[in-house]
Amino acid sequence: MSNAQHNQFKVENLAVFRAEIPLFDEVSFSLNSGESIQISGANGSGKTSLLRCLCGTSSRHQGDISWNGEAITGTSSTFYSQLLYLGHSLGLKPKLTVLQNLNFFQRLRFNKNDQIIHETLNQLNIEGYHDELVANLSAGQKRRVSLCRLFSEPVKLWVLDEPMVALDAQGQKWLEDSCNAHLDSGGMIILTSHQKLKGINGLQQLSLVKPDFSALIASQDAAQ
Amino acid sequence: MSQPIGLLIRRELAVVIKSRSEFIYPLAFFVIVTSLFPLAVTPDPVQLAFIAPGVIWVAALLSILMSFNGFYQQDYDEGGLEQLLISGVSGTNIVLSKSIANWIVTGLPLILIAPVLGVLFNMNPTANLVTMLSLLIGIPSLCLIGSIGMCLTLGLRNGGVLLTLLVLPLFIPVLIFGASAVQAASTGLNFSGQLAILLALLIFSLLLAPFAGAAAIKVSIE
Amino acid sequence: MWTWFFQLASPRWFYQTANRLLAWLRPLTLVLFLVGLYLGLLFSPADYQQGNTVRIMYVHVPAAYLSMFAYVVMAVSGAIGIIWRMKMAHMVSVSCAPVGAIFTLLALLTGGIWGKPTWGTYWEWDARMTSELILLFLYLGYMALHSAFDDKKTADRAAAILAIVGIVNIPIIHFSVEWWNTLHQGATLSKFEKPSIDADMLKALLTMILAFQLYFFVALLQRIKAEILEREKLSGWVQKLVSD
Repeated sequence: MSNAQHNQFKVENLAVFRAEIPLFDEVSFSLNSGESIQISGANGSGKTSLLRCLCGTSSRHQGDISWNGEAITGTSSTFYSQLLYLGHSLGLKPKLTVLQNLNFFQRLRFNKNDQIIHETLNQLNIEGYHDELVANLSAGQKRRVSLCRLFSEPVKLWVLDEPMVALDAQGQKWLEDSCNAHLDSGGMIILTSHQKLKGINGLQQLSLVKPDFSALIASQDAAQ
Repeated sequence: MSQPIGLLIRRELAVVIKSRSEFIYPLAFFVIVTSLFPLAVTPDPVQLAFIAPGVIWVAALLSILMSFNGFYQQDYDEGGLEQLLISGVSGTNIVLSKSIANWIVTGLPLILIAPVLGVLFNMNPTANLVTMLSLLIGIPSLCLIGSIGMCLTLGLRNGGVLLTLLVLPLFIPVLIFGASAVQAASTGLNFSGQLAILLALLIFSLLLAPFAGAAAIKVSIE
Repeated sequence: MWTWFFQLASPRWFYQTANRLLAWLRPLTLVLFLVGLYLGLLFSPADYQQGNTVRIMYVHVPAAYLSMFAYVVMAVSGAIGIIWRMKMAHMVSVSCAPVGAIFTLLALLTGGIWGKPTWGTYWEWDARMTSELILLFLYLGYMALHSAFDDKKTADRAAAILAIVGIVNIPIIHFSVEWWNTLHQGATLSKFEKPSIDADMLKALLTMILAFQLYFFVALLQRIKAEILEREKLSGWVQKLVSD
């Protein structure tokens, strides 16, 4: 990981729709290397939908999302080699062991490195489980396993949907420290959380606001 | 590009090895359905040999149809498909690797057990061999074509029945030429033409189905 | 140069244009049908082999032709909808399906009615009839898939992909069925189209094909109009239209 390379993730006038109705007022923000942002909003305000659009898995949006000046879905974009998204469903195969799961994701983009996996599992207090089937783990343990990917796959941009959920105090502390280390080394973080995350340095805030529908309809009528 | 395909296939196979029973269902289904026909139609060896190509091919088609769920639905529900796309794996590679894994896991056992059923149906050795050959070339096409339908119905609650409705009409060409190759072989006619067409269908589906499947995955993931 | 293309994308513009077109198309279709029926039922001669049974051709052939034409329209507009993200194109595609399915059913029914006196059976595994039957399955699959999604946008795109896959497959299916048919039955017993068709019969047939073609557009436009109203019910112009 070199500090030399500077990256920029930029979102301009982004609106996300559900059943053709915008979920929140347009948002714009940009993240440079070493910067992080917390997206907040009430339940159903569209946080997860927004994150999925930022990752390019949903296209129910208008506006531009770019990585280093190029649209994330562009053909020569390097966005997907630098993105890690941890959402509500973790993508772990229950029938495979912890190590098999982590190895698989690691080897999709990086060279096999069991040492870093073991070290991280150790920090997360689940070292003894590396040969256990994921199906046999608790929800919190699964969460920790997927968090291990933050280190086994050294990418620049972390997109974390409610990462604090199902973590105990010690786990939350570990995550905050990890985020700080990531930012110090030039990484970027986008996360959602209902709680105040004081432990993360320089965390910017963005809150999603429900759009004013009466104004919206009036403007549409004027356009027609 | 080839590296993730190999990796993806190995992962699919690793899952299968861990959950053997689920993947034996299509094979058991194949054997049971075909052995119902002598009971329902006739045990007369001449007539059995006559209906055998059709019976074996239709049963193989239905067993393959049953196998798609295991490869795609869980991966979709667990968020695995989403993670693959976010890690930069293309939808075409996903469809291709799953189809290859499906062919290995579901297809090969069917192909190996088919001659046993052929004996039960009084088929001659040439016809038996051609059955295996036609299944060998035909089943990968089915895996590819079926994956399109499966990917389209991923997000639906009762996708299973719908899958049947979507996919079976598209299976018809493979069924026609597969069953006909076996029929020709069992009556001593030339069967190379049918096998050639099966091969052509395979190349055609190999070229197009992964793209359609990838588009379908994108729609379903949203 | 491309303005017409983008205007097409506006549901409101499409709705108003459809209304203007329908004002002409409806009476024209009716007249063509009357002329075609007169030519077909009264004016044209009976067949020397099939007798009056041949007259069902004037319904069967146009229906069979339109069953395929509708599928092409459905797939092409679905593709346009996916490529240019044009919701109007998806509405056209979705509206095509029931119309096409009905034509397919009509072709099958008239084929059966024709088959009874000619073949001595309502159903014969004739290559054309079998292809029509499979086409009906494809339509049913399309409609079932579209109705299975709660979200219209997802439904549109999924159904469009299926329609495109279907249109690529139809020639292959048709070829396989043709091949299968010649293998099992030798030459087909009898076909609707004779190598040389009587000039009066041809006149009647062409008129009926044209009448059916126009009827297809009338039915399609009607369905699209209904689809537009359904989907745009929240927009100001539809609410105004309904309240007026």
